[in-house]
Amino acid sequence: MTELGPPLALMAELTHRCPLQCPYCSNPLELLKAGAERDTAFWLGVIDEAAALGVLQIHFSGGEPALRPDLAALVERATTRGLYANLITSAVTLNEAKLAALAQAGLAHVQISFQGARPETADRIGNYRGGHEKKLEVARLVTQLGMSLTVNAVVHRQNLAELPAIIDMAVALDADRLEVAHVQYHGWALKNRAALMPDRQAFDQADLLVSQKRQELQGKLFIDYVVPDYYARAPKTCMGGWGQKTMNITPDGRALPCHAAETIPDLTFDRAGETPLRQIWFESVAFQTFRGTSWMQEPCASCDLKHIDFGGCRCQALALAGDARATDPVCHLSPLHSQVLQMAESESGADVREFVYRRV
Amino acid sequence: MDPSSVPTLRRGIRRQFDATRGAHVLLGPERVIVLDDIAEAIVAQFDGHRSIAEISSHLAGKFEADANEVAADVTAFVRELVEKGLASL
Repeated sequence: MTELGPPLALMAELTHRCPLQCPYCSNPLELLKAGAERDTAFWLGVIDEAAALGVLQIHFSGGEPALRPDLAALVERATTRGLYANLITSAVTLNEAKLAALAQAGLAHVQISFQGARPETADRIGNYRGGHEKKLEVARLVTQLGMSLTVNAVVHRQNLAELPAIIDMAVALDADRLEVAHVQYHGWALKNRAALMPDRQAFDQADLLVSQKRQELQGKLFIDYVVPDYYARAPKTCMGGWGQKTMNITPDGRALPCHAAETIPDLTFDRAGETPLRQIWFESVAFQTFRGTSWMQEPCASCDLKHIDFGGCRCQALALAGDARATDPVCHLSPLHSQVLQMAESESGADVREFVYRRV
Repeated sequence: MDPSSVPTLRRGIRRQFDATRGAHVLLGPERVIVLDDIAEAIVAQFDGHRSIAEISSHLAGKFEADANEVAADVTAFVRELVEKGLASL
Protein backbone atom coordinates (compact mmCIF):
# COMPACT_ATOMS: atom_id res chain seq x y z
CA MET A 1 0.00 0.00 0.00
CA THR A 2 1.26 3.43 -0.85
CA GLU A 3 1.17 6.13 1.76
CA LEU A 4 -2.05 8.09 1.93
CA GLY A 5 -1.85 11.34 -0.03
CA PRO A 6 -4.24 14.27 -0.03
CA PRO A 7 -7.63 13.88 -1.72
CA LEU A 8 -7.57 14.18 -5.50
CA ALA A 9 -11.03 15.69 -5.70
CA LEU A 10 -13.43 17.76 -3.66
CA MET A 11 -17.16 17.42 -4.25
CA ALA A 12 -18.77 20.74 -3.34
CA GLU A 13 -22.49 20.18 -2.86
CA LEU A 14 -23.48 23.82 -2.91
CA THR A 15 -27.21 23.23 -2.43
CA HIS A 16 -29.85 20.52 -2.25
CA ARG A 17 -32.33 22.70 -4.14
CA CYS A 18 -33.08 21.45 -7.65
CA PRO A 19 -35.78 22.15 -10.22
CA LEU A 20 -35.79 18.46 -11.15
CA GLN A 21 -37.25 15.73 -8.96
CA CYS A 22 -35.52 12.59 -10.23
CA PRO A 23 -36.71 9.55 -8.29
CA TYR A 24 -33.15 8.19 -7.95
CA CYS A 25 -31.57 11.40 -6.68
CA SER A 26 -28.33 10.80 -4.78
CA ASN A 27 -29.16 13.48 -2.22
CA PRO A 28 -30.34 12.25 1.18
CA LEU A 29 -34.05 11.75 1.92
CA GLU A 30 -33.81 14.61 4.41
CA LEU A 31 -33.03 17.45 2.04
CA LEU A 32 -31.51 20.63 3.43
CA LYS A 33 -33.45 23.81 2.84
CA ALA A 34 -31.96 27.00 1.42
CA GLY A 35 -31.59 28.51 4.89
CA ALA A 36 -29.09 25.81 5.89
CA GLU A 37 -26.75 26.62 2.99
CA ARG A 38 -23.35 28.18 3.54
CA ASP A 39 -22.40 31.57 2.13
CA THR A 40 -19.88 32.57 -0.51
CA ALA A 41 -17.14 33.36 2.02
CA PHE A 42 -17.41 29.83 3.42
CA TRP A 43 -16.98 28.19 0.01
CA LEU A 44 -14.12 30.51 -0.99
CA GLY A 45 -12.37 29.43 2.21
CA VAL A 46 -12.98 25.76 1.43
CA ILE A 47 -11.52 26.22 -2.06
CA ASP A 48 -8.39 27.92 -0.70
CA GLU A 49 -7.88 25.19 1.88
CA ALA A 50 -8.48 22.40 -0.62
CA ALA A 51 -5.92 23.82 -3.04
CA ALA A 52 -3.36 24.19 -0.27
CA LEU A 53 -4.01 20.60 0.80
CA GLY A 54 -3.23 19.31 -2.71
CA VAL A 55 -6.71 18.73 -4.12
CA LEU A 56 -6.57 18.84 -7.95
CA GLN A 57 -10.20 18.87 -9.00
CA ILE A 58 -13.37 20.43 -7.71
CA HIS A 59 -16.80 19.21 -8.72
CA PHE A 60 -19.51 21.82 -8.20
CA SER A 61 -22.58 19.77 -7.53
CA GLY A 62 -25.88 19.74 -5.66
CA GLY A 63 -28.86 19.71 -6.01
CA GLU A 64 -28.51 22.16 -8.80
CA PRO A 65 -25.34 24.23 -8.24
CA ALA A 66 -26.34 26.77 -10.92
CA LEU A 67 -29.09 27.99 -8.59
CA ARG A 68 -26.33 29.65 -6.57
CA PRO A 69 -25.73 33.21 -7.80
CA ASP A 70 -22.11 32.95 -6.62
CA LEU A 71 -21.25 29.95 -8.82
CA ALA A 72 -19.07 31.92 -11.27
CA ALA A 73 -17.18 33.56 -8.39
CA LEU A 74 -16.46 30.13 -6.88
CA VAL A 75 -15.34 28.75 -10.25
CA GLU A 76 -13.04 31.70 -10.70
CA ARG A 77 -11.43 31.21 -7.29
CA ALA A 78 -10.98 27.49 -7.93
CA THR A 79 -9.35 28.14 -11.29
CA THR A 80 -7.09 30.83 -9.83
CA ARG A 81 -5.94 28.31 -7.23
CA GLY A 82 -5.09 25.77 -9.96
CA LEU A 83 -8.07 23.48 -9.39
CA TYR A 84 -9.74 21.82 -12.38
CA ALA A 85 -13.32 23.06 -12.15
CA ASN A 86 -16.15 20.78 -13.16
CA LEU A 87 -19.86 21.62 -13.09
CA ILE A 88 -22.35 18.81 -12.52
CA THR A 89 -25.69 20.22 -13.59
CA SER A 90 -29.24 19.54 -14.74
CA ALA A 91 -28.68 22.54 -17.07
CA VAL A 92 -32.31 23.70 -17.01
CA THR A 93 -31.56 27.00 -15.26
CA LEU A 94 -28.55 27.84 -17.43
CA ASN A 95 -28.52 30.17 -20.42
CA GLU A 96 -25.94 31.68 -22.73
CA ALA A 97 -25.04 34.63 -20.48
CA LYS A 98 -24.57 32.45 -17.40
CA LEU A 99 -22.52 29.90 -19.33
CA ALA A 100 -20.34 32.58 -20.87
CA ALA A 101 -19.63 33.95 -17.38
CA LEU A 102 -18.68 30.46 -16.19
CA ALA A 103 -16.43 29.89 -19.21
CA GLN A 104 -14.81 33.26 -18.56
CA ALA A 105 -14.26 32.24 -14.93
CA GLY A 106 -12.27 29.23 -16.15
CA LEU A 107 -14.78 26.38 -15.98
CA ALA A 108 -13.12 23.44 -17.72
CA HIS A 109 -15.88 20.93 -17.98
CA VAL A 110 -19.65 20.64 -17.80
CA GLN A 111 -21.51 17.44 -17.07
CA ILE A 112 -25.18 17.58 -18.02
CA SER A 113 -27.65 14.98 -16.82
CA PHE A 114 -30.10 13.54 -19.33
CA GLN A 115 -33.04 11.46 -18.14
CA GLY A 116 -33.62 9.76 -21.50
CA ALA A 117 -33.39 10.40 -25.24
CA ARG A 118 -37.07 11.19 -25.86
CA PRO A 119 -38.49 14.38 -24.34
CA GLU A 120 -41.62 12.56 -23.08
CA THR A 121 -39.56 9.99 -21.19
CA ALA A 122 -36.97 12.41 -19.88
CA ASP A 123 -39.40 15.07 -18.72
CA ARG A 124 -41.55 12.52 -16.90
CA ILE A 125 -38.54 11.07 -15.03
CA GLY A 126 -37.25 14.48 -13.98
CA ASN A 127 -40.82 15.72 -13.49
CA TYR A 128 -39.92 18.94 -15.31
CA ARG A 129 -41.73 19.89 -18.48
CA GLY A 130 -39.54 21.16 -21.31
CA GLY A 131 -36.39 20.11 -19.47
CA HIS A 132 -35.00 17.83 -22.16
CA GLU A 133 -35.12 20.48 -24.91
CA LYS A 134 -33.48 22.99 -22.62
CA LYS A 135 -30.67 20.54 -21.82
CA LEU A 136 -29.97 19.98 -25.52
CA GLU A 137 -29.77 23.73 -26.05
CA VAL A 138 -27.38 24.24 -23.13
CA ALA A 139 -25.22 21.26 -24.17
CA ARG A 140 -24.66 22.85 -27.59
CA LEU A 141 -23.68 26.14 -25.96
CA VAL A 142 -21.13 24.39 -23.72
CA THR A 143 -19.05 23.14 -26.64
CA GLN A 144 -19.57 26.35 -28.62
CA LEU A 145 -17.98 28.17 -25.71
CA GLY A 146 -15.01 25.79 -25.88
CA MET A 147 -15.73 23.84 -22.71
CA SER A 148 -15.58 20.08 -22.48
CA LEU A 149 -18.94 18.27 -22.32
CA THR A 150 -20.00 15.08 -20.61
CA VAL A 151 -23.45 13.67 -21.23
CA ASN A 152 -24.51 11.86 -18.09
CA ALA A 153 -27.34 9.37 -18.38
CA VAL A 154 -28.63 7.51 -15.37
CA VAL A 155 -30.34 4.39 -16.73
CA HIS A 156 -32.95 2.06 -15.27
CA ARG A 157 -35.95 -0.04 -16.32
CA GLN A 158 -37.99 2.93 -17.53
CA ASN A 159 -35.39 4.38 -19.94
CA LEU A 160 -32.92 1.59 -20.70
CA ALA A 161 -34.59 0.92 -24.07
CA GLU A 162 -33.47 4.42 -25.10
CA LEU A 163 -29.77 3.73 -24.49
CA PRO A 164 -28.92 3.38 -28.22
CA ALA A 165 -30.59 6.76 -28.84
CA ILE A 166 -28.81 8.29 -25.82
CA ILE A 167 -25.45 7.25 -27.28
CA ASP A 168 -26.39 8.74 -30.68
CA MET A 169 -27.48 11.92 -28.90
CA ALA A 170 -24.09 12.23 -27.16
CA VAL A 171 -22.33 11.85 -30.52
CA ALA A 172 -24.63 14.40 -32.16
CA LEU A 173 -23.94 16.87 -29.33
CA ASP A 174 -20.18 16.48 -29.90
CA ALA A 175 -19.71 15.41 -26.28
CA ASP A 176 -16.22 14.38 -25.23
CA ARG A 177 -17.47 11.85 -22.76
CA LEU A 178 -20.61 9.87 -22.03
CA GLU A 179 -21.27 8.51 -18.60
CA VAL A 180 -23.86 5.75 -18.56
CA ALA A 181 -24.61 4.99 -14.96
CA HIS A 182 -27.08 2.42 -13.80
CA VAL A 183 -28.99 3.64 -10.76
CA GLN A 184 -27.18 3.02 -7.50
CA TYR A 185 -29.73 2.08 -4.89
CA HIS A 186 -29.34 4.51 -2.01
CA GLY A 187 -31.70 7.13 -0.61
CA TRP A 188 -34.40 8.09 -3.10
CA ALA A 189 -33.39 5.30 -5.47
CA LEU A 190 -33.82 2.71 -2.74
CA LYS A 191 -37.30 4.07 -2.12
CA ASN A 192 -38.09 3.71 -5.84
CA ARG A 193 -36.22 0.49 -6.45
CA ALA A 194 -39.22 -1.54 -7.62
CA ALA A 195 -39.99 1.09 -10.27
CA LEU A 196 -36.36 1.31 -11.46
CA MET A 197 -34.71 -2.12 -11.35
CA PRO A 198 -34.02 -3.44 -14.86
CA ASP A 199 -34.34 -7.12 -15.62
CA ARG A 200 -31.36 -9.30 -16.31
CA GLN A 201 -31.93 -9.47 -20.03
CA ALA A 202 -32.14 -5.70 -20.45
CA PHE A 203 -28.98 -5.36 -18.39
CA ASP A 204 -27.09 -7.89 -20.53
CA GLN A 205 -28.20 -6.11 -23.70
CA ALA A 206 -27.06 -2.74 -22.35
CA ASP A 207 -23.73 -4.24 -21.36
CA LEU A 208 -23.17 -5.64 -24.84
CA LEU A 209 -24.22 -2.41 -26.53
CA VAL A 210 -21.81 -0.34 -24.44
CA SER A 211 -18.85 -2.60 -25.23
CA GLN A 212 -19.65 -2.48 -28.95
CA LYS A 213 -20.06 1.31 -28.96
CA ARG A 214 -16.88 1.81 -26.96
CA GLN A 215 -14.91 0.14 -29.74
CA GLU A 216 -16.80 1.81 -32.53
CA LEU A 217 -16.45 5.31 -31.04
CA GLN A 218 -12.91 5.03 -29.72
CA GLY A 219 -11.01 8.29 -30.11
CA LYS A 220 -14.29 10.15 -30.65
CA LEU A 221 -16.48 9.63 -27.60
CA PHE A 222 -15.15 8.22 -24.34
CA ILE A 223 -17.72 6.08 -22.53
CA ASP A 224 -17.68 5.48 -18.79
CA TYR A 225 -20.03 2.74 -17.66
CA VAL A 226 -21.27 2.17 -14.12
CA VAL A 227 -22.92 -1.25 -13.82
CA PRO A 228 -26.01 -2.01 -11.76
CA ASP A 229 -24.19 -3.75 -9.00
CA TYR A 230 -27.07 -5.97 -7.88
CA TYR A 231 -26.28 -7.99 -11.03
CA ALA A 232 -22.51 -7.88 -10.59
CA ARG A 233 -20.36 -10.67 -9.14
CA ALA A 234 -17.89 -8.40 -7.44
CA PRO A 235 -18.76 -5.16 -5.67
CA LYS A 236 -17.73 -1.76 -6.99
CA THR A 237 -14.70 0.00 -5.56
CA CYS A 238 -16.95 2.57 -3.96
CA MET A 239 -15.47 6.10 -4.06
CA GLY A 240 -12.14 4.53 -5.07
CA GLY A 241 -11.95 3.38 -1.44
CA TRP A 242 -13.31 5.12 1.65
CA GLY A 243 -11.27 8.23 2.40
CA GLN A 244 -8.79 7.49 -0.40
CA LYS A 245 -9.59 9.95 -3.16
CA THR A 246 -12.52 12.22 -2.49
CA MET A 247 -13.92 14.56 0.11
CA ASN A 248 -17.54 15.65 -0.06
CA ILE A 249 -18.78 18.89 1.50
CA THR A 250 -22.53 19.09 2.17
CA PRO A 251 -24.58 22.28 1.61
CA ASP A 252 -24.40 22.96 5.36
CA GLY A 253 -20.63 22.49 5.42
CA ARG A 254 -20.02 19.01 6.81
CA ALA A 255 -17.17 16.94 5.36
CA LEU A 256 -18.14 13.40 4.32
CA PRO A 257 -16.14 10.54 2.81
CA CYS A 258 -19.05 9.97 0.39
CA HIS A 259 -22.41 11.60 -0.25
CA ALA A 260 -24.36 8.80 1.44
CA ALA A 261 -22.12 8.46 4.51
CA GLU A 262 -24.66 10.19 6.72
CA THR A 263 -26.87 7.11 6.52
CA ILE A 264 -24.35 5.24 8.67
CA PRO A 265 -25.30 5.67 12.32
CA ASP A 266 -22.74 6.68 14.94
CA LEU A 267 -20.47 8.41 12.44
CA THR A 268 -20.06 12.09 13.19
CA PHE A 269 -18.77 14.54 10.64
CA ASP A 270 -16.57 17.55 11.18
CA ARG A 271 -17.47 20.90 9.74
CA ALA A 272 -15.26 22.61 7.19
CA GLY A 273 -14.40 26.10 8.33
CA GLU A 274 -14.28 24.89 11.96
CA THR A 275 -11.77 22.06 11.57
CA PRO A 276 -9.01 22.35 8.93
CA LEU A 277 -9.64 20.15 5.88
CA ARG A 278 -6.18 18.64 6.30
CA GLN A 279 -7.03 17.48 9.79
CA ILE A 280 -10.43 16.16 8.70
CA TRP A 281 -8.84 14.19 5.86
CA PHE A 282 -5.88 12.69 7.70
CA GLU A 283 -7.15 12.42 11.28
CA SER A 284 -10.93 12.52 11.66
CA VAL A 285 -12.73 9.43 12.90
CA ALA A 286 -15.27 9.53 10.05
CA PHE A 287 -12.56 9.36 7.38
CA GLN A 288 -10.55 6.70 9.22
CA THR A 289 -13.37 4.35 10.22
CA PHE A 290 -13.52 2.46 6.91
CA ARG A 291 -10.23 3.60 5.39
CA GLY A 292 -7.96 0.77 4.26
CA THR A 293 -8.71 -2.81 5.33
CA SER A 294 -8.22 -3.09 9.09
CA TRP A 295 -11.95 -2.61 9.84
CA MET A 296 -12.94 -5.63 7.76
CA GLN A 297 -14.58 -8.81 8.93
CA GLU A 298 -14.88 -12.10 7.03
CA PRO A 299 -15.15 -12.89 4.18
CA CYS A 300 -13.47 -9.55 3.29
CA ALA A 301 -10.60 -9.79 5.78
CA SER A 302 -8.95 -12.80 4.11
CA CYS A 303 -9.99 -11.94 0.54
CA ASP A 304 -7.32 -11.46 -2.14
CA LEU A 305 -9.33 -8.61 -3.63
CA LYS A 306 -9.63 -6.55 -0.46
CA HIS A 307 -7.13 -3.95 -1.70
CA ILE A 308 -8.96 -3.76 -5.04
CA ASP A 309 -12.59 -3.23 -4.05
CA PHE A 310 -12.21 -2.47 -0.32
CA GLY A 311 -15.23 -4.67 0.41
CA GLY A 312 -17.55 -2.60 -1.79
CA CYS A 313 -19.92 0.06 -0.56
CA ARG A 314 -20.36 0.64 3.20
CA CYS A 315 -23.69 2.38 2.80
CA GLN A 316 -25.05 -0.48 0.71
CA ALA A 317 -23.76 -3.00 3.26
CA LEU A 318 -25.71 -1.12 5.90
CA ALA A 319 -28.83 -0.79 3.76
CA LEU A 320 -28.96 -4.44 2.69
CA ALA A 321 -27.15 -6.36 5.44
CA GLY A 322 -27.91 -4.05 8.33
CA ASP A 323 -24.21 -3.73 9.15
CA ALA A 324 -21.86 -1.16 7.62
CA ARG A 325 -18.89 -3.51 8.31
CA ALA A 326 -20.39 -6.43 6.42
CA THR A 327 -19.25 -7.50 2.96
CA ASP A 328 -21.26 -5.55 0.41
CA PRO A 329 -24.10 -8.02 -0.28
CA VAL A 330 -23.73 -7.62 -4.05
CA CYS A 331 -20.44 -9.58 -3.72
CA HIS A 332 -20.82 -13.27 -4.61
CA LEU A 333 -18.90 -14.11 -1.43
CA SER A 334 -21.50 -12.44 0.79
CA PRO A 335 -23.90 -14.85 2.49
CA LEU A 336 -26.71 -12.51 1.36
CA HIS A 337 -25.71 -12.47 -2.32
CA SER A 338 -28.33 -14.89 -3.66
CA GLN A 339 -31.03 -13.14 -1.65
CA VAL A 340 -30.08 -9.76 -3.20
CA LEU A 341 -30.06 -11.21 -6.69
CA GLN A 342 -33.46 -12.78 -6.11
CA MET A 343 -34.85 -9.50 -4.85
CA ALA A 344 -33.49 -7.66 -7.92
CA GLU A 345 -34.99 -10.21 -10.28
CA SER A 346 -38.34 -10.16 -8.56
CA GLU A 347 -38.49 -6.33 -8.36
CA SER A 348 -37.47 -6.03 -12.01
CA GLY A 349 -40.77 -7.74 -12.85
CA ALA A 350 -42.82 -5.60 -10.47
CA ASP A 351 -45.86 -3.89 -11.89
CA VAL A 352 -44.75 -0.48 -10.61
CA ARG A 353 -44.40 2.48 -12.92
CA GLU A 354 -45.14 5.45 -10.67
CA PHE A 355 -42.28 7.24 -8.94
CA VAL A 356 -41.96 8.80 -5.53
CA TYR A 357 -40.43 12.07 -6.69
CA ARG A 358 -37.82 13.75 -4.53
CA ARG A 359 -38.95 16.94 -2.88
CA VAL A 360 -37.80 19.14 -0.07
CA MET B 1 -0.78 3.70 -34.94
CA ASP B 2 0.44 5.85 -37.84
CA PRO B 3 3.79 7.54 -37.00
CA SER B 4 2.75 10.56 -39.06
CA SER B 5 -0.36 11.25 -36.95
CA VAL B 6 -0.28 14.30 -34.71
CA PRO B 7 -1.32 13.82 -31.07
CA THR B 8 -3.02 16.63 -29.14
CA LEU B 9 -4.66 16.78 -25.75
CA ARG B 10 -8.44 16.66 -26.08
CA ARG B 11 -10.71 19.55 -25.28
CA GLY B 12 -11.05 19.87 -21.52
CA ILE B 13 -7.75 18.13 -20.71
CA ARG B 14 -5.25 20.28 -18.84
CA ARG B 15 -1.59 19.67 -18.10
CA GLN B 16 -0.11 21.49 -15.15
CA PHE B 17 2.59 21.21 -12.52
CA ASP B 18 1.37 20.11 -9.11
CA ALA B 19 3.62 21.34 -6.32
CA THR B 20 2.13 18.97 -3.73
CA ARG B 21 3.07 15.86 -5.70
CA GLY B 22 6.16 17.42 -7.31
CA ALA B 23 5.06 16.25 -10.75
CA HIS B 24 3.13 17.29 -13.80
CA VAL B 25 -0.43 16.02 -13.96
CA LEU B 26 -3.06 15.64 -16.64
CA LEU B 27 -6.52 16.67 -15.48
CA GLY B 28 -9.76 15.87 -17.22
CA PRO B 29 -13.33 15.00 -16.34
CA GLU B 30 -13.07 12.36 -13.58
CA ARG B 31 -9.46 11.81 -14.64
CA VAL B 32 -6.23 12.54 -12.84
CA ILE B 33 -3.00 11.16 -14.27
CA VAL B 34 0.27 11.88 -12.50
CA LEU B 35 2.94 11.96 -15.19
CA ASP B 36 6.35 10.43 -14.58
CA ASP B 37 9.39 12.12 -16.16
CA ILE B 38 9.17 10.16 -19.40
CA ALA B 39 5.43 10.69 -19.80
CA GLU B 40 5.84 14.39 -19.08
CA ALA B 41 8.65 14.67 -21.65
CA ILE B 42 6.33 13.18 -24.26
CA VAL B 43 3.22 15.22 -23.43
CA ALA B 44 5.28 18.42 -23.33
CA GLN B 45 5.94 17.89 -27.05
CA PHE B 46 2.24 17.94 -28.01
CA ASP B 47 1.92 21.22 -29.91
CA GLY B 48 -0.68 20.34 -32.53
CA HIS B 49 1.95 20.23 -35.28
CA ARG B 50 4.51 17.58 -34.45
CA SER B 51 3.81 13.96 -35.37
CA ILE B 52 4.54 10.88 -33.30
CA ALA B 53 7.61 10.28 -35.49
CA GLU B 54 8.91 13.82 -35.01
CA ILE B 55 8.34 13.72 -31.26
CA SER B 56 10.14 10.36 -31.08
CA SER B 57 13.19 11.49 -32.99
CA HIS B 58 13.39 14.73 -31.01
CA LEU B 59 13.31 12.84 -27.70
CA ALA B 60 15.77 10.19 -28.92
CA GLY B 61 18.21 12.99 -29.75
CA LYS B 62 17.60 14.87 -26.54
CA PHE B 63 18.12 11.83 -24.29
CA GLU B 64 20.70 10.14 -26.57
CA ALA B 65 18.55 7.02 -26.60
CA ASP B 66 17.85 4.30 -29.15
CA ALA B 67 15.45 5.75 -31.74
CA ASN B 68 13.45 2.55 -32.16
CA GLU B 69 12.99 2.11 -28.44
CA VAL B 70 11.87 5.71 -27.98
CA ALA B 71 9.45 5.42 -30.91
CA ALA B 72 7.93 2.30 -29.35
CA ASP B 73 7.55 4.04 -25.97
CA VAL B 74 6.02 7.16 -27.46
CA THR B 75 3.60 5.15 -29.60
CA ALA B 76 2.49 3.01 -26.65
CA PHE B 77 1.97 6.03 -24.43
CA VAL B 78 0.04 8.00 -27.06
CA ARG B 79 -2.16 4.95 -27.63
CA GLU B 80 -2.86 4.77 -23.90
CA LEU B 81 -3.84 8.45 -23.79
CA VAL B 82 -6.16 8.03 -26.77
CA GLU B 83 -7.78 4.96 -25.19
CA LYS B 84 -8.31 6.88 -21.96
CA GLY B 85 -9.93 9.74 -23.86
CA LEU B 86 -7.20 12.22 -22.95
CA ALA B 87 -5.63 12.71 -26.38
CA SER B 88 -6.80 12.55 -29.95
CA LEU B 89 -5.00 12.19 -33.27
